[in-house]
Amino acid sequence: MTTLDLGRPVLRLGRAGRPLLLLDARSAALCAGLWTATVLLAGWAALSGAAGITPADGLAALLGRGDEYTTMVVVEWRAPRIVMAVLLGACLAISGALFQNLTANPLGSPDVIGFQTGSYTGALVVMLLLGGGTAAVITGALTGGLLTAAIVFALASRRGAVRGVRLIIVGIGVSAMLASVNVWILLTATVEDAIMASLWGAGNLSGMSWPLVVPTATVSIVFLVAAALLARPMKVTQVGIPFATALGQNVRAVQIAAIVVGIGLIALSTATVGPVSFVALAAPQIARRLVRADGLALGPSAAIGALLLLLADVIAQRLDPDSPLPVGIVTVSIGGIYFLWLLIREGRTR
Amino acid sequence: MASSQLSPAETRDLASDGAEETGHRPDLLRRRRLLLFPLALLCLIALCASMLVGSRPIPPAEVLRAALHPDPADEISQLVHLSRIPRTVLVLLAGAALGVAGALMQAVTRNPMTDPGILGVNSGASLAVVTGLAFFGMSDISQYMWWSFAGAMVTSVLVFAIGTTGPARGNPIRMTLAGVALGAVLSGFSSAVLFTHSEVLERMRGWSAGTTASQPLEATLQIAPFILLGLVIAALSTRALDVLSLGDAAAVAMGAHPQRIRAVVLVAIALLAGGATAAAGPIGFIGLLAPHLARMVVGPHQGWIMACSVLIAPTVLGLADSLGRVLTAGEVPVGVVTAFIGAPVLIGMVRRFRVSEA
Amino acid sequence: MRTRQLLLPSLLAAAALALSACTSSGADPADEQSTADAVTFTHPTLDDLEIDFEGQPDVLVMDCYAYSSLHEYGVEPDALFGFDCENPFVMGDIDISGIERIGQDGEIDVEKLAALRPDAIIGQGGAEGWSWFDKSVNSQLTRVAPFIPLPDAETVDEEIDATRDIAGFLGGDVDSEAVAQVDEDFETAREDLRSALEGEEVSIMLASPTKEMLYTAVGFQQSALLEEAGATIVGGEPPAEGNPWGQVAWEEASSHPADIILIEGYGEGWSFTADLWEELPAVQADQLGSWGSKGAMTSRAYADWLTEVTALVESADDVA
Repeated sequence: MTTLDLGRPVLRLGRAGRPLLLLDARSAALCAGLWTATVLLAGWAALSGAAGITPADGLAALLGRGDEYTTMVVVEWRAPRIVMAVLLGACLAISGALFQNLTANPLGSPDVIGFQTGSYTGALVVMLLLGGGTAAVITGALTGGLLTAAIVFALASRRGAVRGVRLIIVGIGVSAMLASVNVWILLTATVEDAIMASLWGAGNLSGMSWPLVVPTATVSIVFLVAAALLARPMKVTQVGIPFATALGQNVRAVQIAAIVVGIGLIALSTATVGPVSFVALAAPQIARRLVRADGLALGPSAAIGALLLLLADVIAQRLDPDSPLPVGIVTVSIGGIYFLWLLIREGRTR
Repeated sequence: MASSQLSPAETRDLASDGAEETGHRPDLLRRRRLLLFPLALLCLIALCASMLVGSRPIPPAEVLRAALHPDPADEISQLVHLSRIPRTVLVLLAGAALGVAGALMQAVTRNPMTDPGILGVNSGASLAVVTGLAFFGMSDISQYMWWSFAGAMVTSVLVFAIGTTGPARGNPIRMTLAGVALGAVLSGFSSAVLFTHSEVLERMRGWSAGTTASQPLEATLQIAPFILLGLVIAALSTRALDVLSLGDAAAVAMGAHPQRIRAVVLVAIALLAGGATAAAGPIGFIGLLAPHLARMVVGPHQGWIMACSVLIAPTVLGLADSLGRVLTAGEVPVGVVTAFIGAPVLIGMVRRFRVSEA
Repeated sequence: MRTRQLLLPSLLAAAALALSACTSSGADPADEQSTADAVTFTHPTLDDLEIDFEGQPDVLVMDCYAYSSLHEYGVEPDALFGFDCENPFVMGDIDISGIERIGQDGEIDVEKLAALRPDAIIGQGGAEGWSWFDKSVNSQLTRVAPFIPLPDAETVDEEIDATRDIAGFLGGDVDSEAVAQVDEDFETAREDLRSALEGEEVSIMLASPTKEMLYTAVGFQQSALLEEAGATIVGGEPPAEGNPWGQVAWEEASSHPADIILIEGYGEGWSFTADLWEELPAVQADQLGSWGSKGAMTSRAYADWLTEVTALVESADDVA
């Protein structure tokens, strides 16, 4: 039996003639490298910080043998924050990758369909008008976001079918309107309340704790698994819808599943830590460039998203000596600059 | 990439909604000129509303008397001259500027879903004002104007530079997305600065939704020449834009230079969007609505669209501003009211379009 | 590729669960041990709030609002956080350059807070924590040390007394000659204002002008203080709930005639121009002064302020 030359280095797992799994070598190497970097960064972040704990003590606490203070800081404060950053970074990146693939446009991210603006509106209503606590804010954000997505989809679908272009346009319109509502709500609050609300709106990992991380992780794993299962069908669809249909794939079902998973992931992230910008937009693009893939590259996207958000959070906590910053400020600044560069470059080349 | 690239036929579909209609109804062409009169009347009504409606109820007779016989000692007279008249002039100028800027943007990008707000021009203006307040110690309200003018102009140039080079020329959606992305980036930078300089937040909050209050007439008149220059350039470019709407290849075949046309129109857009944002703050949706309403009324001819936009946009802005003045005890910023009016209309527009794609 | 993608999330989940298993022993709330040194603080204005401390609080962390008031009594923090730390109208002459900052506006570095091992955290808020942190940050905060909320009372006098209670509990010097003297000054200033307002119809507006509208303070403690001395407070009605500032559109500004306008933050660097603002009679007569809604709650601060207001009242003409 001849071995197929796929034009790219490929790892074959299993028997030579009938391999169990084919992995793109470049992608696999990249993922391995990125996750290693993430683990190293996570370790460093867990064992260093302003609380005056030596790495040895920190390690002991992680293994369950620390004193009360060290355990509190390392295990209950730092660890959940790091885990959340890695997890949500991956979720955001995968959500972005799915949306970009669905809309066949590198700028088509969940941010564009107004989901994040809608969830900010929901959160603002709860925080400033109703005065609720953390759980209420999460519920408000989820409701606002999902309602907005539902409205955008309902308005964008024509005779039951959703067109990519129309979706983006309706999303932009609804998003712009909700942004005005947000400005208005912030205007009527006191300055301190407005600042507090904008901290949420920037995307903020402060106050992370295990009771919040564990359910989020459980739910997100469901979505992540679903995304992994969708990877191959979506790649096939990318070749062409007639091609995919000819292969017996239910394209409509795949697309709907991808939308549900994409929205689920972004909903989860936005509800728990607020709208973190640019990870969903930038991570899949960076992944595509590094792997030199044609389209969907879920694994590398997740890896880059995780590393990106963790890095941003570490920087956000340590950048200003007087005060930590919300992680969203850092992702916006880094992501924004990267984005400008991307836009300018795309405009010039090709 | 099939779903995001539109063939020339579809693009024309987007931009020239009424092409078939005018062909089958030649009487519309004749009636176009007559339509200007009712539109002008509506505009006049809206401007009168702007003069007569306000937080303080003043009888129309009083307003007229005060306008014609200014008396610095009389409270009502001062109110009319320092609030009603400047705001009405501002509505007229900013409205016209926004309407024509939107029409130009839509013509150049061949996408009826663009306006200065969507394309990130407003975010650029806000960022410039925030930067001025935070880092350059700007404190005077009149200085807001020049900073936001500069910010809006630079952003317009940037969006078009990014959007009209490379493959975006053939893809109107890409330009819109580039604008949206740039707008998001710039407003992200604004938030980053605002978060670290909270005293700036307090002063920016009111301006950032667009407001016609407290803008002295002299300041508005300082910006007026730029807006008028932009309007003139726009008026002179209408024929070239008609040619451009047929597609780059067709335009070149007809002897036009697409890039040169775009460059000139870009200057006009920068002046108009910059001037409007400088005078009244970031106001969205006017540039979107006015040209579309104009197109529905007079068809795809750029000249007519602009003429009608000049009348329709101040009408909408005036009505929105008047509404904002009376809705609550303090006023609702006009940018918030236009968003509430504009978004449903935008959605309605989208559903009407015959956008077809694979 | 598929297996790999499944592998990583499951590894993460396993790690998370393993770590959470390890923490089950660590989460003890601060024990309330009744040792010989334990002290209990009964909050002056919040009924039912009793805070237990293991010993007399020594290391203190507070927000800048608290420091602006407590500085007067010699209570010094080891770290500061919160809003308006650079605002001279809140902080006055206090030099905070030598004090560690662990947070700005709505953020706080909980690790730095924990590293300081504070005994008490003082700031604006309630029993659950600081007003502008969300619940999860507040729960981290209160695990480090008990939180003492600043008092919230109806009148300025009550609030000054309640703040003094807290200062006393924290070891501040509340019985000294200087403090008694300042109390007297406050009373004198109040009397002076009363007599200046006697028989006159003076209307005062407490304002904060911005480009888009004029904000007025009606029903604030400071306005109540002036009213009690005999002034008439004018301004827009505040909304029933939410932001306590009244919103007055510029066109309506002249329908609240005032002889004197006190502007929040008025001083050397203050500048604001708007046509309709300039039209107000008090502005034209330059009968303007300052006030602050967030300033220090001390007799000295209010004595100084009332003296300034009295001087304005005495020199002001009736322009409204």
